[in-house]
Amino acid sequence: MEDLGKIHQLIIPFFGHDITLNVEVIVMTWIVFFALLCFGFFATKKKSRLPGPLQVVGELFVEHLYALTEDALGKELSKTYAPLICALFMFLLLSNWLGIIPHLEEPTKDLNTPLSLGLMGFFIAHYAGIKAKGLKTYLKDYCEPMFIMAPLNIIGELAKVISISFRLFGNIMGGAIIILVVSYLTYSIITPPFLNAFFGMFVGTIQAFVFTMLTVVYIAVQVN
Amino acid sequence: MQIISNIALISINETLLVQLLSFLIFLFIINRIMFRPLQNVRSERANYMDTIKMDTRDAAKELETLTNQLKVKESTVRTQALGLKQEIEESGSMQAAEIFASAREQIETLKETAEAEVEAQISEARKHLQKESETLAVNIMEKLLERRLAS
Repeated sequence: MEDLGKIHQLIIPFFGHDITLNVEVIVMTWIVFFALLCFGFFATKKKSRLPGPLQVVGELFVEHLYALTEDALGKELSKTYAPLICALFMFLLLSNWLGIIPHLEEPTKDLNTPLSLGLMGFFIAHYAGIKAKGLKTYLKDYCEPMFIMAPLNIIGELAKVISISFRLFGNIMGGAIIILVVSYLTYSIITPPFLNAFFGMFVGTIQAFVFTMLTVVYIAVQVN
Repeated sequence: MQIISNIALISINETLLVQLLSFLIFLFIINRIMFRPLQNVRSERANYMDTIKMDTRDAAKELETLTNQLKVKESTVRTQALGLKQEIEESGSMQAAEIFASAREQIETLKETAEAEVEAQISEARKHLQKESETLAVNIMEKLLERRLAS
């Protein structure tokens, strides 16, 4: 229980300012990246028209997420943004599932990860909006329905980043805390497999999908 | 540079930028090694399927054309065969009639010859029979009377 919220931070002095890096999160993130890159490598290693099992799984992800992006953004824009959406979903899914494995932690349990991804989605959505509508129309949209609403619209846009990031962070962190508390209360005699399955796999999958869908929707809203 | 242990449920720091950069690097690599190749395979497969579909459609059309041609040929051949059959039947029946007629003639000739021969043999036999019956009658009489009859 005393491990709750305990993190290791790497402090790097940089021109009189200390750069602080959360070690566990970065390591866990790269574990996820490595696993996904290995999966990607082996899925396409013997690629053929008649696919093997790994290629089938890979194609399943790619096909469905590309189709999802195409539905929301249209055929042309989906070519640009589908890889991002696909990578985002795969990363979040595996990140949320990582806590099931003993001694490993979900990178999404640290706010830096969902917030960085939320900010990335925010900037990409607004970049896509400016590119699609033009700067003038884009800025004009903030003044809808009237000029006085502009601050509220800006706050609304910023709130999207906060909401999307904290939703994922809260769910994953909450799940991890519940599992930790239940394990503590049962003196770790009973491994809570049901809780792991629920918070790790079920909630993890749902939240990964929600985050990805919201990112697509934010881009689609800006573009359309 | 040092590593410290800290208790913090929420700690927003430079890790955010590292995570963002890491994800962008990951996106770049995974797009190169997984998404693009899989998309290429998928489009290649789709093209292949389209080609197969087109080939199948072409083959079906060709089959239909060939079937129609075959039907036309079949009906032509059938008509020709029917004509030939009729011709052969006619010539066959004519030949049969001729054969029957010649056979009938031969039978008639043979019958007449046989009748003539039979008639000749009967008359011959009658002559011969007269003499033999006379001799036989004399012999019977002699045996019955137990003496010779004067001839």
